[in-house]
Amino acid sequence: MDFNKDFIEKIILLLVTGMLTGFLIPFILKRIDEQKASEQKEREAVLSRQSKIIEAQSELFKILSKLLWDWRYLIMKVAYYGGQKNDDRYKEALNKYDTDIWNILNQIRYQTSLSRSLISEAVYEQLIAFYYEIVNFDKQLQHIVNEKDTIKKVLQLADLNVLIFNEATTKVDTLIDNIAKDVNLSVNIKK
Amino acid sequence: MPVIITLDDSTLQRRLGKNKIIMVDAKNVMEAIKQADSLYPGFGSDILSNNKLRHSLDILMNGQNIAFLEGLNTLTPSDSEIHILRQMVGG
Repeated sequence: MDFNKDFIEKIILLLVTGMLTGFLIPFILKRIDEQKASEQKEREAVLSRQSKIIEAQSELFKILSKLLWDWRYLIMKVAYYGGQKNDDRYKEALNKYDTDIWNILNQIRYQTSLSRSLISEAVYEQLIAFYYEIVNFDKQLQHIVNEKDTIKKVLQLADLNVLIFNEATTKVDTLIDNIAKDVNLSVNIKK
Repeated sequence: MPVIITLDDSTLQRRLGKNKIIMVDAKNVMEAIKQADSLYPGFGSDILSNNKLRHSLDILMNGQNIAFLEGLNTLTPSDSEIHILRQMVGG
């Protein structure tokens, strides 16, 4: 009787072990693999999204930097040649300004709008503020261009030349640097 | 207290016609500019904008930039020379 009981227990144990090794363990291992694969996929999706954001930030940085400097040189040329009373070059620069300024304003404002989802709110606000400064520079230039007194016109253009060289240039540099730091494209990150 | 004003710029000189210098009696640079304006109307606003020296101008009083002295309040001793020049920056 004892022999039979012992025998049956061993048989049961053997069957349980067989089930465990044959079905349960492979099942658990499969689930672990599936879980790992799912996590890996999720990590890859996050990385891919981050990589796309970095690419978009980098592109935005390049486009905005180019637009800001394009504006700076566009208006500087008018002020410089006007202040020098180099009439031919002044007219040429003014025509170019009149032709290009709307497109540059449009592009800066458009990129600023897009930037809202790619940069911090603080830097976005700086971009908006600078856009309005550009609009003010434009108003100032239009006012000078319409000045009837030739001497005053030349002197005011010279003033604008110095103002752009000293103040606007520094502001453009600072703004570009702030964008770079904000999107971690700078080696001198200090937020 | 005669003070001589000289201009190192053809645009500024146009206000003076054929004259090359302006002679005024003034205690300081601001007063000299105001007196010059009464002799050559428009001269004051050529030099000043909102009562401040234009961004593009420098004034030397006896060879010293008034920016490093007392600005437009810099005193003008007798026979001093006020030299006004214009700066332009390219690039």
